[in-house]
Amino acid sequence: MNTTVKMIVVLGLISAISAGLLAGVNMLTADTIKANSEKRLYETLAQVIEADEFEAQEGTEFPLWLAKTNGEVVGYVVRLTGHGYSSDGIDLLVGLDAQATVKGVLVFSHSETPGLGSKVAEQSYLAQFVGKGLDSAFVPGEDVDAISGATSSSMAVIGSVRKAVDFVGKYAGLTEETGIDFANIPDGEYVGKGRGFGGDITVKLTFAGGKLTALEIVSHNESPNVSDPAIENLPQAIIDQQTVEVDAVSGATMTSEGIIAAVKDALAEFSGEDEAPIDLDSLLPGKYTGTARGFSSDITVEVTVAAGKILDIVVVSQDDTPEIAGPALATLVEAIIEEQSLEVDLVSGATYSSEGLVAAVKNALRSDPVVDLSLLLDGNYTGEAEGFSRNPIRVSFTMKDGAISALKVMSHGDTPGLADDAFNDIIQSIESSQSLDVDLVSGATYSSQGMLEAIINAIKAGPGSGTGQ
Amino acid sequence: MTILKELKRGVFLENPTFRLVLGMCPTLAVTTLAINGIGMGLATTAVLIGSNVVIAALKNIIPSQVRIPCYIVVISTFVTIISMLMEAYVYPLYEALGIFLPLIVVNCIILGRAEAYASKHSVGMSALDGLAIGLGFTLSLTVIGSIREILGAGSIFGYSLVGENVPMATIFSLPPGAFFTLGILMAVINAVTNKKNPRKKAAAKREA
Repeated sequence: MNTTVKMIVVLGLISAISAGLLAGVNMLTADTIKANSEKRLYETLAQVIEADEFEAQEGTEFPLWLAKTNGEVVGYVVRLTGHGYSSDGIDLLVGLDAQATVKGVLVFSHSETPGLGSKVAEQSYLAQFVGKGLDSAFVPGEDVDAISGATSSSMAVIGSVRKAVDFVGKYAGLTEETGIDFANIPDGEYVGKGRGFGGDITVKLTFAGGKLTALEIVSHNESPNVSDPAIENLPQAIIDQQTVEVDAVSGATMTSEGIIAAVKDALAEFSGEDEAPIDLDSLLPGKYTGTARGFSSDITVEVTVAAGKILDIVVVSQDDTPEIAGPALATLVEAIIEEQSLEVDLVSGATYSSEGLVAAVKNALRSDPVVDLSLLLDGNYTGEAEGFSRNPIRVSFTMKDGAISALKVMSHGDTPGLADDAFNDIIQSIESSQSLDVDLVSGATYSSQGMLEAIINAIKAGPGSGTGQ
Repeated sequence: MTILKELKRGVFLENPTFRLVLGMCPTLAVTTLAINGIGMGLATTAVLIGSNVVIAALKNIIPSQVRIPCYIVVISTFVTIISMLMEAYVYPLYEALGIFLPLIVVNCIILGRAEAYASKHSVGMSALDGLAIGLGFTLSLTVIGSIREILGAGSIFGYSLVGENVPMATIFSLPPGAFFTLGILMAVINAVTNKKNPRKKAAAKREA
């Protein structure tokens, strides 16, 4: 009994004394620690832009400080995290003047490989961003440099600085916010996810005729009652205003933001510079040429497409490191052809060359092809397009063993005689050259163009489709 | 004389890193730079002296059943105080040591000395033991840190030894480098001490 009491008393006493000591030291040091941390923050901020004082802003997309001298805003400091090689991210501060021109960049914490990626944290590298602004492209090799051997780390820093410039440009009202224009979205259904209060909210959007016609919340895990106003009213607001830039429903902000984020996610491919996905089935058979930036040079590819499939990809020219890029591109070409998709794994060790190739193929497939009739499947084709008059020109032809024959205009509403002669000329040219690359007939330009368009529509539709056969 | 002997014991004969092989976690983790080694070593030394003194003073009061919790409370108090002081007055070092500073609490050197030495010796001797072992730890960490800094970053205590563009053996700055350095150093030290001590050598031969 006695020992038990002693144990409790001694341990209790030691703990009490320890607590007292800690409280004392804390009182002694707390102010210094706080003052130090503020001083450090301001000293750090002052390294990227000169100013008398800094004022933290709240509720911005990235942490933002206004740099003030004599009470006037002379610039901004933005804190961002870029993702380089290490999963921990590169924390940096970007100082910009009132015109969103970079005044200084500072990497204040990173976990990149010492000796390689860590070089991006050095001022000798970061100094290159000073003077860059809204009109800079931030393209490595053009107006900014990437450190070879530390490309990922460099790209993370370059991307972050660009983001900072864009962000301040928007914040300071120097650039217009590029929202998503609903009118440009192709008809169809789009699904997206966004984080609300209780987890992911999934939405389904239906577009028809360049308008958002329906917005359905497919699933959510928001608190009942509290989130109801947002879930009931926000979709209608988005439909009514035809924009995602709607006000959050007060009292259900998190849910509102989740819904808005989900809508943005669904339409992510249409925001900014991103273009619509490539639908292989809608591509005409033929050769497509495209170019994109690889690691150190442009990569040009020639893609052969037929019947909705990528048949071949030829790298026409590239100057990337041959021993690295060569095999990587070959692997990638094989993967794209095999999977019939551009969503292939990049070849590690040649990330930039790989991305360059994929981008080149995408660019190629977005460009106008040289239509190769010999790649068409056998069968009868019909198609129509508008010519000179409102009545469509309807054409039909037959493909057999890669040769076009029996091309004829089945009906049209264009000027009789004039148009008929033009059609005959074109039929002759196409059948003799076995190509769509024929001259238009002068005096019947619209009819000629309409006929060629009708042929292309027939090719798009595929063999055996349509009517009149 | 005793002081010298104690110091020699702590730094060489019972060097916590190379002879006792205690406190490996901070040894491997923070020794990327020589200065980190010194900082970690000195912080540990301060905690070690403090906790040794307090535990030696309280050794007759603390019931043996609860001695470990008591030691831990004492040690963690010292560690917390030191880390607050460091945050307030030597922030760069505080930041460099990071998580390893609070982890001094569980550094087995400290609990080990409390249990094996301070609880059986006088306050003065315990303080000396703390100093000696602490210096031994500091020295080891500084040596490892120097080697890794020279090989991995081409500098020593932050002063560059080679030009900007000389490629360095970066692996020495990375975790594997810590193991390489520690292993090789330990092998060298064992080889030297075995040579100096023929009896041990003979024993090793007999075993072999």
